Amino acid sequence: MRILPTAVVLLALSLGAISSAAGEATHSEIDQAITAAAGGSLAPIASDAEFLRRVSLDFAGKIPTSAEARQFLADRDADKRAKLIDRLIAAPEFPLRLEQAVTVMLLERRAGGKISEGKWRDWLRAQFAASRPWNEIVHDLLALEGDPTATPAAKFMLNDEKYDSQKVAHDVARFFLGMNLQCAQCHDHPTVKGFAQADFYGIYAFLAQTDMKPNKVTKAIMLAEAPTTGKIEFKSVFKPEKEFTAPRVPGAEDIAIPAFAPGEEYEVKPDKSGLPGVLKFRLQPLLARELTSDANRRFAMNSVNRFWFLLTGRGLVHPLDMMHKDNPPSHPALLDLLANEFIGHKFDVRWLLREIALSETYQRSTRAPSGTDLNSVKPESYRVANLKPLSAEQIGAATMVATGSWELLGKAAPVAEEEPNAQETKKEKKQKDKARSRADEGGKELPTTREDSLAAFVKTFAGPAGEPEVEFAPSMAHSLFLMNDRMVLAWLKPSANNLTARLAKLSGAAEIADELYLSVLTRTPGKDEIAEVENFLKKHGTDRQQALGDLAWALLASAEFRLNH
Amino acid sequence: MPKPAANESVESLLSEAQGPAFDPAKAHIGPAFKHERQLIRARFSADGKFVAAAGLDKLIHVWDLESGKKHTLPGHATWVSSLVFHPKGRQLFTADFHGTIHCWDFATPDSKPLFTITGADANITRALAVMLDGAHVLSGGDDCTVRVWSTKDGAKVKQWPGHKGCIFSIAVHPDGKSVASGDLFGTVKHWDFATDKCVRDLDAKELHTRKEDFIADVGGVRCIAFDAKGATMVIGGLSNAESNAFCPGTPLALLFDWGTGKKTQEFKLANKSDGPINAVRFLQNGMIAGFGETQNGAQTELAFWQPDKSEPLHSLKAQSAYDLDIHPDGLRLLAPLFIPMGSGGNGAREKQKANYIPNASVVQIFNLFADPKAKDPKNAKKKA
Amino acid sequence: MRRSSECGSAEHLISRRQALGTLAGAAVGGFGLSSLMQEAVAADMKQKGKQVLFIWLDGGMSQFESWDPKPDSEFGGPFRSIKTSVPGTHISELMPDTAKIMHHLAVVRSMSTKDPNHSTGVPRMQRGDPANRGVPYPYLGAAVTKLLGFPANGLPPYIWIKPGSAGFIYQEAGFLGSKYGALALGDGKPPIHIHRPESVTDETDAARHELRRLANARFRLDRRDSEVDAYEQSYEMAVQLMKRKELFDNTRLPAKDIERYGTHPLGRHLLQARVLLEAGVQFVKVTSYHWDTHGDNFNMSQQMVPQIDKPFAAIVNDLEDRGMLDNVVVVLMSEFGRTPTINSRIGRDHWPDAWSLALAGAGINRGALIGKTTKDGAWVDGEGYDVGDLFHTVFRALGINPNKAHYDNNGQPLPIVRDDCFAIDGALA
Repeated sequence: MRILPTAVVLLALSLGAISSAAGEATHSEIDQAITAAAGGSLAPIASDAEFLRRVSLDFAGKIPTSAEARQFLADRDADKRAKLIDRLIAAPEFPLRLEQAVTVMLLERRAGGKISEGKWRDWLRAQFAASRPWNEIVHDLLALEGDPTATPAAKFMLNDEKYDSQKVAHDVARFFLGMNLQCAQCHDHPTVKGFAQADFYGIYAFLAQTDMKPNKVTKAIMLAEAPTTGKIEFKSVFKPEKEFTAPRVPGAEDIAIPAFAPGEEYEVKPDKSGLPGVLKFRLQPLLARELTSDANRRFAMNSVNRFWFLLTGRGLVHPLDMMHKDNPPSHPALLDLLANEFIGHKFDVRWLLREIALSETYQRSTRAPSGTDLNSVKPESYRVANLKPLSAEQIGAATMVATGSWELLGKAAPVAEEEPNAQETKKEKKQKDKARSRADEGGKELPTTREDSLAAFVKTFAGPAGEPEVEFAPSMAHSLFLMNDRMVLAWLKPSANNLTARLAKLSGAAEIADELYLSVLTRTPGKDEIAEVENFLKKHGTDRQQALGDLAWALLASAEFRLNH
Repeated sequence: MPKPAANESVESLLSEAQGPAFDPAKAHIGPAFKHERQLIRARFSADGKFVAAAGLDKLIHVWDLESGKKHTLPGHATWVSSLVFHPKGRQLFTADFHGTIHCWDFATPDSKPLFTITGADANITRALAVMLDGAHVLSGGDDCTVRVWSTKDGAKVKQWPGHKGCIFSIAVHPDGKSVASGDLFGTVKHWDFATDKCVRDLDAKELHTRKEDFIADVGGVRCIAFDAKGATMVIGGLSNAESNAFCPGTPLALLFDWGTGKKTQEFKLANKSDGPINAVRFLQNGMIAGFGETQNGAQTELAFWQPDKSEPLHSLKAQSAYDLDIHPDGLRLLAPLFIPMGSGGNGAREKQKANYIPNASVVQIFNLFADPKAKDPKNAKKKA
Repeated sequence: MRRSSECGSAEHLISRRQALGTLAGAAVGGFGLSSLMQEAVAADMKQKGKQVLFIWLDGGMSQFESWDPKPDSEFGGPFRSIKTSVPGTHISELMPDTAKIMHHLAVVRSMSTKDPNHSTGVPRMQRGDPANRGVPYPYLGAAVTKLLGFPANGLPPYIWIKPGSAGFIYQEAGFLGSKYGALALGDGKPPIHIHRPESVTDETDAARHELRRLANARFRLDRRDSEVDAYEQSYEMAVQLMKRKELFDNTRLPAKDIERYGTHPLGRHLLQARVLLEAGVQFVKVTSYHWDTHGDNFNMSQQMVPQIDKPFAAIVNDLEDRGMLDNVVVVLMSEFGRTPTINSRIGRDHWPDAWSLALAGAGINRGALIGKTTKDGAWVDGEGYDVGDLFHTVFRALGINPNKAHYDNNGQPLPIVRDDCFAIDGALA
């Protein structure tokens, strides 16, 4: 293995050499880095079944059907895992899964503003479907002007009734630079040396001139930038004197602000009718460009760290938004390498996720080798694969697939394109409200679409608004939902070719257990598990239908189902 | 922020009053009296020769406008909530947060009250008004009852229960027979003095807010005024409060046709201001003046509205005010204004311990005519 | 001075060594091991069955309009001060009911804290202002859950009654792990889905849970327990709570109690808190929002303070009547007090410099009035107490020795309190 010091890699980059050293595949380099620093025995490679479930959840956002599982397990092709990864990446579920994960990451379950969540999701999914480079997607989130409702990407900056440059600056720092500058808004971070107040205001300076202005002609609310007057003044609550900063991406040079004579700032002057005008010099597009440029290593490092977290359950830098000197990466050279390679591969998310998934590190079992002191296995060692909680969307989809409801539930009629945004948002809200009332006790009708069913899961399992979803946070609300929700219980009653209907047609305990375990847990049952099924059915033979439902429920409610292991 | 003018302006006040033509569009800052504590009520005496003001320091401060001299009346045991002059003679009525009303001979320094009414309200007395004939003084407050007292000796004459929320304001109609009282929930009650009947309720619910998550009611009819003929009534307060903590909302004054009881106009401030309109007055040409209150010691405004327009014709930027009175000559307004003294804002002030002092106020006169000094363009330039 | 000397005390040194596993039986600094052991045993005995009622008036209740009236100072408001059941102690006239139960309370008038902001102040206060340890510290409810352990009754150990939304607020657990988080009841309503459809019989329910437990037991093999534990616990707690649905049935509450507590949110929520404490819930937090009276402070306080006065007096009386006051530590506080100066909106701003809070119940010195402010009410006169001191006090009241108990964060011992703080003088019985 050769891991080059950053400076050398940067030099190499500037000379145009972008691939990793000696032509070695990145996934092998990942494994070398992890193995070298493991500090203890490594878990074995996960079984085909475990791998299939894991990679399906990670790349398709749901588990495979029992038929798909059988097919994969029976496949004798030595290269079947790599082929599966490629199939999953090419499938339509992949952009959907990435959209869901990135939406949770960037919007943090906050709902609001004038841009409908549906349009945002459609837009983001289309970006991933078209394999747009990550830096270009992020660029589009920031380089906005004009009518935000016409640009779904604006939802990132405008997910509220009002535009708040402080909040956007804070989000940009956290999500794209791995810098949680919350404290730095009022003073230099008291405990983090690298996070200076000037960093926050440097970002803020790009955004401070932007605001929402109503266009008096079209009545639309426009995002418009006012002429930049100079440096941003800020004051620490701990220091008496005022300080100043120019627009600056942390770690980069100050942006020089050209001086214009008063009145000369505009290419096209703002119209009295409400057209914002065209500035000769705008800062917001500069932020988009500077932030996402190849030269901004922090952006690349933060990006790979977040995608790495998505697949391994733990950031190389963790917490994800605490990328600073006193919280070093667990594997600095690996983070460096991945960042360089990500830049070299033009921020190709598919490439990055594929390389991680191909690694043994990703494919390791979540079980430690027998006899290991479990307390000694640190999550940041990746010696043993980390357990990852299923997201609300993953639980919903997986429960539908496991119970066979996925096929039975229809798709919602697509929302008409020409409908005005405000109404569309209302419609979405209505749908959510509907799902909510159904999901609760008193609701009369059960959802008939995947979308509505999923909304009931999201309502229950989503984290609180404004909080990153990083840790496993099971709640009594989750368990009560699975225990008592009429929709979930209805899915366990035989219907058409759903799970319990299929089980009801089988007679032998082994057959039943086989179909049950493959459908819910994507694996074949062990001997003790077959015996358990047999005993349970014997004991509760009077109501076989109920007993089969209970067997399925117990697996749906198990930790094995709740976690991506 | 209006700077308190020098004392020579005070001395010249009355003589100056003879000449100038009424023109609220040219209203400007006149003389002022600074006080080291917050004052929340200020009124002109009926003859226009005195100003009385009171507030958080519990004392009654009286300025003789001719001499510019000030004297003090010993005051109350708690904050003064209301202050009103008798239409004739030398009586001044003041009320406080413990439900006590004092009647003073305002021109005699350090004099004891002529009489005192205790328990004028079960809790806080918030409003006072004197009937035009001077025979009775009316009070209202937390126990939702208007009470009528003799101005001779403070004997209780009668009372009018009926409000559902605490009474913030009382005004006497120019007909001398009708009384209006406004409460927390935005109800204005029209009373017939002779029969003690509540004639009707006028609805100003906009001036009260209680959103679902509030734990207190915000707003109230903070002030009432009638035009000289009694054809219209204007009231003020706060609408659309966003919380019961900062209590920020939209300052609002409402004009009512007194005959029909219908609301005919909503008045707004021109500048950003988040507190209630605490005081309103009719001017001699039918225009209406109202004063705002705002957070952080920022400037709000004294607004001048025409009855048919929502936006003010003219506004003077100023600190928050809690009362507004008009001089008998109709050419000047009077308001107690907030003066921040540098101890505002949130704490963690250990280091400023030594100079941590209460906020102050200024009793400010606003002239409703062209500033003679501003007439000369040279002078105007100098000022700029 | 007191602080620096005690900080290096022998007891402190021992507790450190003990936590590091190096206490080898040697007497250190004059303290014998046996006395230490006895103290530990005694502490265990004392903390049995202890509960906490933590009332949080979010935004900052004005000390002038409650515990520390200064009617004669330039900063005092318009309200009177009144006598209480403790001779010589006066509080605001806005708290007439509380005045009658002062002999059950310890009121601290000399809180002096650092943070004038809500956003940082609320977590800082509820976490006991831990010095920077590089990990997020648990809120008081989560800390007590960890330190006292999950009670045997199987009920959720930490319930948070609040206006607005419900949920499981795992963030309050900090580094302890999500199972120590707060179960939040929105407006006191039970969690949704608490009612089991009739189609699921008791027998079926028991059978399906048995299967679930067996599945989890198999999954545990060679995996770290924490995730499975947390998940398992979320089910077991749900099962227990479903058996106690009556705790959320307001129709069972006597009309007289509803009248005594009041029908406003604080009244309803404190009455529910009593029911939960009676049922054995270990830590109940009751939050009331919108005490941040920057505007119209006196009209707002006049309406709001009675909303805590009445139910607070009622619950303290009820706990006393039921013999529970010896067992339940009661804390009533905000993130700070309010400014002496009165602003342009006749409001008061944030004031951490000198403010008050009240304690009652187990281990608390009843009728105590602790500390004082200067004549004008602006500053602490004498020694001020920080929130770290409050945490020492609360833990000690619960029978936990804060200098001995430590958290174990993956093998790293972490103190449960700031080690440069101490229990508030005179607050403990």
